[in-house]
Amino acid sequence: MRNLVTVFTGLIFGIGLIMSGMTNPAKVQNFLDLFGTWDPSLALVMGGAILITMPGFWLVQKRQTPFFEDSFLIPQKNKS
Amino acid sequence: METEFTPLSSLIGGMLIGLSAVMFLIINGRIAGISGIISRLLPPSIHKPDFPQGLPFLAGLILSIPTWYFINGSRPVQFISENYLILSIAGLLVGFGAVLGNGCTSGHGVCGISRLSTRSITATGTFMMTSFITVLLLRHF
Repeated sequence: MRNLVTVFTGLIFGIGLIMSGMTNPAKVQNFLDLFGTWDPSLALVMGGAILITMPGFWLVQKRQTPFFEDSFLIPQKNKS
Repeated sequence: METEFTPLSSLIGGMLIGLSAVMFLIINGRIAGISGIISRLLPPSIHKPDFPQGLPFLAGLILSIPTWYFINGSRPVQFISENYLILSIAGLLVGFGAVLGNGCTSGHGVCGISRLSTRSITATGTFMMTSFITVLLLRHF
């Protein structure tokens, strides 16, 4: 069950990546080419993702434990 | 080569990426950083059984290509260099940098920034700045 749901999360990630155009290296390179063929799409991809993860992570971490593990293993914040 | 600005599909695609990262966290209690997941599937980390869900996640990621083809009837658009030597060196540098910096675009750029992690904000700022300068130098000088 856990494996199946995890495959599904990978699938959603990949579909999102393809839909956003980020599987095309030319789009990424053009985001970086501010003074040439600039394509701002990447900013929207990151913005869209953070729009979901920011409230999402906060909500998830209100739980004591994840579904299939004993505890959350998240890198410590502000550690250099 | 010019590419079309795709605000809507990029925003929705990005939101799907975010959704996936949130789901991954609630299921496995871990951050969905692609470079971390892949490097943990390779030696030497492969021998430490600390991250058992990398393989199914990666399987899903790869399955998204045929799934996309099945739904849309077209392959994802890609313009990529045909110089395999340069591509290999570039890939190696990306991997090396991601291990050294403890993460890549997904781990730092999306997951880390949304946790307001100083380390991730620094890493994202650094790789963005470096790549802006690289493209500027390669394309305009």
